[in-house]
Amino acid sequence: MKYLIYIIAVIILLGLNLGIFKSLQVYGQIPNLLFLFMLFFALEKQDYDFFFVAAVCGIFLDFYSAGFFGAYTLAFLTVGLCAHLFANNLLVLEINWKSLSLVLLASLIMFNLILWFFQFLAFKLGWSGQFAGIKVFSSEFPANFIYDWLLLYPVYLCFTFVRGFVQNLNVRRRGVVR
Amino acid sequence: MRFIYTKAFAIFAGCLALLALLVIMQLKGWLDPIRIAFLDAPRPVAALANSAASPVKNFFSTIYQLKKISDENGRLRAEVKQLEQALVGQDQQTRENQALRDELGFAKNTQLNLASCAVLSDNPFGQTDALVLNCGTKDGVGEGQAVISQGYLVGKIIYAGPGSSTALLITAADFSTDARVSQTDAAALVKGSFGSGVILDQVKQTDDLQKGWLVVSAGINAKIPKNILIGQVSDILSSDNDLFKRAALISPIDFDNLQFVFVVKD
Repeated sequence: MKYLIYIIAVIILLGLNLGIFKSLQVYGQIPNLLFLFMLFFALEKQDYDFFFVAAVCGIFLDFYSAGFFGAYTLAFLTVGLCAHLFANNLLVLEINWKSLSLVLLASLIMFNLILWFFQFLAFKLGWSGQFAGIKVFSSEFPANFIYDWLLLYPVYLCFTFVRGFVQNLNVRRRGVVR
Repeated sequence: MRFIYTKAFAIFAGCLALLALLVIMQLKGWLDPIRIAFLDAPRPVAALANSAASPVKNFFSTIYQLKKISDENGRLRAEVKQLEQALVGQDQQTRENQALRDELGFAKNTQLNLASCAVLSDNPFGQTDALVLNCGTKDGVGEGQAVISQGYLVGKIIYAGPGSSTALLITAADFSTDARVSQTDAAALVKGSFGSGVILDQVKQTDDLQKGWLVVSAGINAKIPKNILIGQVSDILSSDNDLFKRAALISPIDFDNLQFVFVVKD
């Protein structure tokens, strides 16, 4: 049941991303709400739901993108795993807004690098007819990061709402009366 | 090494295997039905979000455009002023063109030796009914020569300098020249009248004179050739008891807006 709720949340976020932010571009960039959503899941300690969310978000974006299939899914899974390992093994205290901004910066860099590398590999193997050069990613990165950074808190609210909803659902299913 | 034995790595490896399977299915084209479902799923939410965001977007877009609209407005105003000025110049050129055509239409058919001149200004030195022309002695213009426009006598040169000359109009009070009535060949005198245009005077009482008859130059003055149209009799001013017959003449020439004239050279 919780996975169905995750899928619905991803669909709603993707719909908002396409419906609202596609016409509110900043220097030609739109935010990646799914990436932020997955990142918050990945930063949860001792929780592996982020793999499902990353896979679903990646598959959705792979279908919507014009690049070779699998690039976004691989990037989401890898960045999610890395963020999860960081949160579990390196982060001593709870994450705050300063460290979250740095995590977002590092994860976006890794995300773009994996995307570029996958598309480059697909191009070299003849699976894809074109790929965007690294300069394209680097020129778009600053606007992309700032736009994502500005939407961190709204997506965090969405994430806490979904987590709370799923936890309440689990509690009620177990029959615990509050 | 310990990481590969963790649950996280196991799930990650499982996801990678699933991804590889999906990539193979995509290459085979088996993912197309699923692809359609994935693409259609967020559409209702996207449509709803778009319809909700459109008014906000239009509002901010309008505000953002305001400065551009204001700048464009200023630029267009300046352009309109420039075009209006160009239009005034063009209207002036059109009038000059028409005046030249009218003059050239006469000049083409005449055998007179003409010097074409442009009117520089009127009322020089405080004189009324006089014109300054842009041709002078170097163009063959001399004092006493007739000034004509569209075949009608408009005045005579009273002063000729090297590069410019002054012409006295036939409507000037101190203008006079010999004339004759075209229909009867009766001799007469044409003089200007302050505020009254052109007067035909000194026609004998025995000579017939009627409205509508043409009056031309007599050619007695050597510098003003004969048979140059002066005007048409519009009104008989004298009575049978007067010594001579007098009449008012009208000319089709607009003396207030002359731009180009010809001087009849010797």
